[in-house]
Amino acid sequence: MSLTELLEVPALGERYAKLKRFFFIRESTYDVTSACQLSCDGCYYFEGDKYKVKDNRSPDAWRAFMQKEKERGINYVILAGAEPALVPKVVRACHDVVPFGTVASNGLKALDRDLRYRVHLSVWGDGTGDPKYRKYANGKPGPYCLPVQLKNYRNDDRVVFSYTFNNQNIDEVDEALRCVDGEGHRITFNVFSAPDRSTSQLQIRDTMARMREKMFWAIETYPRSVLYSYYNAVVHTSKHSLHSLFVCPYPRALQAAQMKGMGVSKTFRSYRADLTFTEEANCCVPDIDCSDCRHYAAGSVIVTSRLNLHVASEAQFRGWLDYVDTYLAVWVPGYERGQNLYRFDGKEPAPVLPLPQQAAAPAHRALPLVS
Amino acid sequence: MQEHKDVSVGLEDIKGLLFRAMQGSVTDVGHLRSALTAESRFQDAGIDSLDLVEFFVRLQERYKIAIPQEEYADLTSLDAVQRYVTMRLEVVARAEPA
Repeated sequence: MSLTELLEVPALGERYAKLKRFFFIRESTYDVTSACQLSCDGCYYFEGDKYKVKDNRSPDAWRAFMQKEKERGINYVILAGAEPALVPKVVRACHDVVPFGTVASNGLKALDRDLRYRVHLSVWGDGTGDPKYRKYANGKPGPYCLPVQLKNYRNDDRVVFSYTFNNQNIDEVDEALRCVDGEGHRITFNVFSAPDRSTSQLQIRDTMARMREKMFWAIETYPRSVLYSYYNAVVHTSKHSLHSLFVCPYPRALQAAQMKGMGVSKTFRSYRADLTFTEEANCCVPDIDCSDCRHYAAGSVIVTSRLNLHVASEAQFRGWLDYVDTYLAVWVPGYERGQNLYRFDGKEPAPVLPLPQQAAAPAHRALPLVS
Repeated sequence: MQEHKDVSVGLEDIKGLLFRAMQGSVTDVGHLRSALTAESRFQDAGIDSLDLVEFFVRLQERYKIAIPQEEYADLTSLDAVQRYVTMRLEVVARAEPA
């Protein structure tokens, strides 16, 4: 079927038209502080040397910086590292200029309710696993974050919980789903993606198939609460990384593969807390091993940008529509996703990249920073 | 002597496919119809990446050629697209028996 024919199928044409209105989003990512209460196993933020900068804590400086970002065309900001809620004045300064975006937080400290960013709250396991995977900065077992998050963000429609599956916590999601659903919140899934040179025991090894089954079960058991599609589950639990399947368009991955891109490849930047960036760290998760990347934020860009790889069959196109619909529901305040259009038919997506280019992007090097 | 096949591609045809791909997007298509020249860069004109990918898919289907995604970055204007499509069609024409 051609794209024209696919769009003539009413359900597909309507969904495509719905999604298409949101492709004006031009995002970048910003570390707003190097402080965090926790030291999580495999945390991307504290990998490498990139976080060793002197934080800029001046709201005025951030406001002026965001104005420049806006002039550069950025209309969506992702405030992610290390724990944005610890610098509320900086978050507010960003919001004053670019009020469209997402804050990624551990949820131990609440963000003011008048900040209308989407808020992604990370969940790593149940009451047994979470303190083990996410220790305090001093190395002691961390708190069980979920009850604190639910208390801090009760009846808060900005929130999407993000449960990171790892090699040890697949069945721990049951408790998280019950709690999140019970409070009327929504939850999406992430897959632990190892940083370069990681030796973490949480790295996915032989549990991908079971993880996929658990995701399918969650989609069917909690249809209101779970913001995830069958196609999301299929591509994020493939034996191939997202980069191998579709070719990551972030500058860091393209540079490593000696390829050129367009759109996000040209506009995306990943800034440190001192308002600087480097080309080779321009990626939503700059120290992740690309050959192991199944991260939800990466997928939101990688899969979404590859319409061309999803028009060879109706099943592929349905999968892509569901994926983009899910991405928008997770990242755009007020966006409501529709019914799943795709059902897994047993066909795994084939990787685009030949084996030599599946190698990881080079680790971040401490080069002079350019703002 | 081998007969030379005409593989010329009309700029208006290509432009038509671009605007078809842009239907339903947030870009101001009405303004672009008059403002977009053959040399205008798509990025400078504010055409979003989904519209461009859809445009490239429609080009593939219309002309029955393959456009690998690693070549998208070089297709920055109508003029560049016209030259690329013509080149692709010439390759196909040369490969076909006369």
